[in-house]
Amino acid sequence: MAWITKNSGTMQIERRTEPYLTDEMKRDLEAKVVVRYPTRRASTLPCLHAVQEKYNYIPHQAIEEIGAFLGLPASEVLDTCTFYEMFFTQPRGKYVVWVCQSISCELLGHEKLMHGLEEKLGILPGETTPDGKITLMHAECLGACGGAPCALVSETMHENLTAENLERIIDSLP
Amino acid sequence: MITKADPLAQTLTFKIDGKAVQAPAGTTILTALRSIGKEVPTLCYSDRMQPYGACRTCLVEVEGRKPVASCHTPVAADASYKTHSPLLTRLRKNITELIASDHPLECLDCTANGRCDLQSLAQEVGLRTPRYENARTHNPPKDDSHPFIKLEMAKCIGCGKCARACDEVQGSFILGMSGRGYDVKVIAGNDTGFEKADCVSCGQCVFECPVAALEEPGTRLFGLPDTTVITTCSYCGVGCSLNVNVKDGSVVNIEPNPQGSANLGHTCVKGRFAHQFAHSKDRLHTPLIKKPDGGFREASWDEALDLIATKFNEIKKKYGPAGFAAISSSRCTNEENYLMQKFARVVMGTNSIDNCSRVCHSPSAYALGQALGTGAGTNSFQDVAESDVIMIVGANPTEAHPVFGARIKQAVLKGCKLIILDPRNTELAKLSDLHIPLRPGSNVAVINAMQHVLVKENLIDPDFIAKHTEGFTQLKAELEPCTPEWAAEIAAVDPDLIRRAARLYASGKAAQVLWGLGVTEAGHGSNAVFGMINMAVMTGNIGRPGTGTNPIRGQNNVQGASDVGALPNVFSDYRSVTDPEARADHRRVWGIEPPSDKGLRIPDMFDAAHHGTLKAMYILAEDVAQSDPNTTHVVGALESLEFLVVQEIFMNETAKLADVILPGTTFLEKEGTFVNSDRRIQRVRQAIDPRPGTRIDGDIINTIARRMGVDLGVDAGPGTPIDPSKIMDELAHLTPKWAGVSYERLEKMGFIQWPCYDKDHPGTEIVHLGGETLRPNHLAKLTITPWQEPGELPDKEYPFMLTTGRMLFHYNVGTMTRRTDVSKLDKAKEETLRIHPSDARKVGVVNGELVNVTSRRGSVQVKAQVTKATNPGTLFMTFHFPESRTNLLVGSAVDEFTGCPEYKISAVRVEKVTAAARPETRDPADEVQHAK
Repeated sequence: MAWITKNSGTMQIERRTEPYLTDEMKRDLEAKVVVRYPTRRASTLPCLHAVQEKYNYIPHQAIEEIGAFLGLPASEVLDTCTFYEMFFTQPRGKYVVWVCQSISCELLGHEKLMHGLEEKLGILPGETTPDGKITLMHAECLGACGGAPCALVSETMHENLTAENLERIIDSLP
Repeated sequence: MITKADPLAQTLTFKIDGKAVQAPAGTTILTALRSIGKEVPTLCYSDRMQPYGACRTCLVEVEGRKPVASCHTPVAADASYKTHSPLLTRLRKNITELIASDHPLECLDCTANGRCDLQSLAQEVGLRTPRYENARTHNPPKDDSHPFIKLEMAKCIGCGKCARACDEVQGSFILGMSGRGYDVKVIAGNDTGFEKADCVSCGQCVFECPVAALEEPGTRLFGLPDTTVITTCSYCGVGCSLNVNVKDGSVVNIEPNPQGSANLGHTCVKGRFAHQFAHSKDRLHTPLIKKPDGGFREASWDEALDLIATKFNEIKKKYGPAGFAAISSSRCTNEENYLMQKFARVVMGTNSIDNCSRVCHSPSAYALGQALGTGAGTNSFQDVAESDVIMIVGANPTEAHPVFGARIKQAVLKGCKLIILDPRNTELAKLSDLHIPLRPGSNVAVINAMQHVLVKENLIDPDFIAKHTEGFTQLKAELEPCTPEWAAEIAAVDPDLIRRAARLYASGKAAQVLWGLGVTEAGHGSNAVFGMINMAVMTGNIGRPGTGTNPIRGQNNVQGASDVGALPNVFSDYRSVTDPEARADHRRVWGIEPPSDKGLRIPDMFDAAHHGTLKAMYILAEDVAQSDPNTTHVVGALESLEFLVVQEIFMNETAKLADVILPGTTFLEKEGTFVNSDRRIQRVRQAIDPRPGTRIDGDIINTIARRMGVDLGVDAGPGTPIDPSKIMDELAHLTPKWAGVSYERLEKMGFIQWPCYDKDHPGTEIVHLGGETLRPNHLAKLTITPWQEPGELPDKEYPFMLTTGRMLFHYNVGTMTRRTDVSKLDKAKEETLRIHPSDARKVGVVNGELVNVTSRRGSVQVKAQVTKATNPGTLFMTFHFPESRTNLLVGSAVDEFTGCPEYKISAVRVEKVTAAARPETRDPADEVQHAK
């Protein structure tokens, strides 16, 4: 077949003895989140957020732990998790830079921004710098067309960007 | 998807392609248009699942509105729908084009070529090459880890049918769709591949896949089949209807028959994938005669059959009818079983004929017969969808009857309450509302206590009791001392649990009791069944949809083998051999006076052989030396016989002891009928020719009779094959409840559930309708069921209770399944002793360590599997692996009424084996070489 395929049936999950979803996290989620919903299943997203917040990504082992905590099959938790771009199942950089590529940004030169960053950081979208500081991502519309081109650096929105001022923002990251 | 029509729904009138159609409100447009023979293309729709509306190819035009997806849009009153138009074709073509733009257009290379839904759709709308640039920039994954479920994401169209089938049909929730857009991917479990996920390998995802993203190796190897034969599965008692795809005389693959009435287009791993045994090179291919030195030599059919005929005649002359006994097979067809009992009764003149229901559900048949008037379950499989409470006692349907187990699971997920009485934490126990983890052997006590609660708390139906039952006053008095506290002591459970269970059962508007061998294969199995019938009758849970008392039968035709009279005490239809009317009927048809001796049951046969009164046996397809309890006693009995004939498809422990072995045929090679658990008579059809050298079992029995000088009246003259439909006609003639059954009607109707009293009778879905039982006085009998200790209890020396049973991937002694692809699965490779972590600590073993399991009768070595699936104090082993010889451990205690052995309860001790004492492993293939 002309398609390049990769084997997924051999995936190994890295495991550690202590759980990612700690008893303390569970207590916290139980008290603050699970009680608010009619079903445990409804707490899937908050649980994923809690894990990602603590470890900066969601390890596969944690998927199973969330499943056990909420009484869901692992496939369902992973299914939900991978539907959202902002959940990472692989370790990511300390900061994630999302460069918007929707129409307004595209018209106003998002490509330049992206190329500038690629060159500066030496990585392609979807990759992380070797020092683990920055992960570069494409984003669909960030909802700030009035300030296009724009980018999201972790949780902070930056508008009316040029390659230069974006570079400065990146440089100023602690 | 199984939805019941709402009888109160309003009937709507609307138009499809100009034609006026009526349907109840809530019907989807797709269902309505199909009901009048119209068709629209679909990719994501399946009859077995909830509408999903993802692919949009089923669009129909609605007058005055935009086109809508017909699969999930309900019909509207006075609407006008159009199924085909230039607009619809254009829309469908666009959709197809978008899907095809991310699909390899390499049909020649694909196993779905010629039966691919996407390919047919492209043909239908006239799509050639998509205009959109192919997005071959991503790397779609594939998963080859599973031996017979292969995933190739490049071909996936993202319809999600596989994941939905896993949820909505099988109920395993193993599959999901991860990612979005081009990255969408079918994941198994935590994306670790099919083999490592907890996949039960039912293959439903493969069956539902509209393309070949999920495929099985069969079509990859052979190409498209040239014929499809509809037949009935020969594994468990669910009776799944199968489509056997055949090419050049070999089975390509087996798929569920979507029209199958028992399975509704679903199968389990065994029915679907475990069929290669029929083509195994280990099959017996010629008669074998024992040599004086104990080995076997090959013989011609003539020589073997003549030898048998001469020997049987000799034995009959020398010892009379008491010298002979036959064991018929619940694996074989009704026709063959009827023939076998006719052979014993007419040719050999004895009632010593029995079948393996003796060692499984004879207590069910006995108790149901006594209390309600017929020896079978009262309701049908589809009734689980109507029950609001289901109580399951001593059964593990998700492993032993997987298709029915999945149905129960779906019912529970939809809100049906579930009560489980089981010493093991089965899959259903984990899902249940209430699990009583009772000690093995305490069923009767707990069931009596539940009845006590029903009476004490007035949870009974006094009107029903007054109108339809007898014996209540006496039963009430007897139940007085059976308090939950009393039972809790015996069963080692919380008495409150028993109270709550009884209340929950009584709370159901339609409550159903199901049970398995955990009830019957115990010393007092009949009493436990009587007790459950009492519960159902007292609460009026009988004779209505969703109610009843239903045994889940173990083998494909164990119900049928008993129905047709392969039992010592009864003719077909459970008519006593002493009943003058039944005797007269048989005298008229058979032309002889039917034998009047008492007849031996299977355990009695072995005793009689040891006593020297039984001299010859004819065993049809049953490995008694492996599957019956107390192996040493059985083997000794068979060795002491003067002459033993065994008819088998593979060499096994019993055949090794035979004087003559006759090679029989599998269900794929013969015509006939099976009866499943819910009395459903279904056709078995020949898919492949009998393997060279083998003969059809019914023909063999008939030929032996012919050579002994008796015409059984089932062929067209000496030397001609039997005519199964002729046997069915004779059987129907002699069996009042089967009187309306014939091959002609079975072809037309697909199945008939007995009782079926005449040629116009539609069959019976629910017996005892309205509470009128089939007993002569139409009253249900409430029976007193005193509790007695099981044959064996744990003590200091043997501190654990061992219970035995099945696992999903294998069937009985493994003769068949272990010669198929299923044995390639990691989970199906070897026997283990399931032991609770706390017990494992006590014994000092860890997971995977070799242990000695010892009972008063023997000792076996097996690996320990530390698991919470059993409770502390209870151990579990299967009997699928002859080399682990589980049944060596099981005692000879039997049910007092039926002689059913106590497989489920043996006291044992467990010791760790030192590394030096490890035995060599044995392979089933070795045994065959030994035979040659």
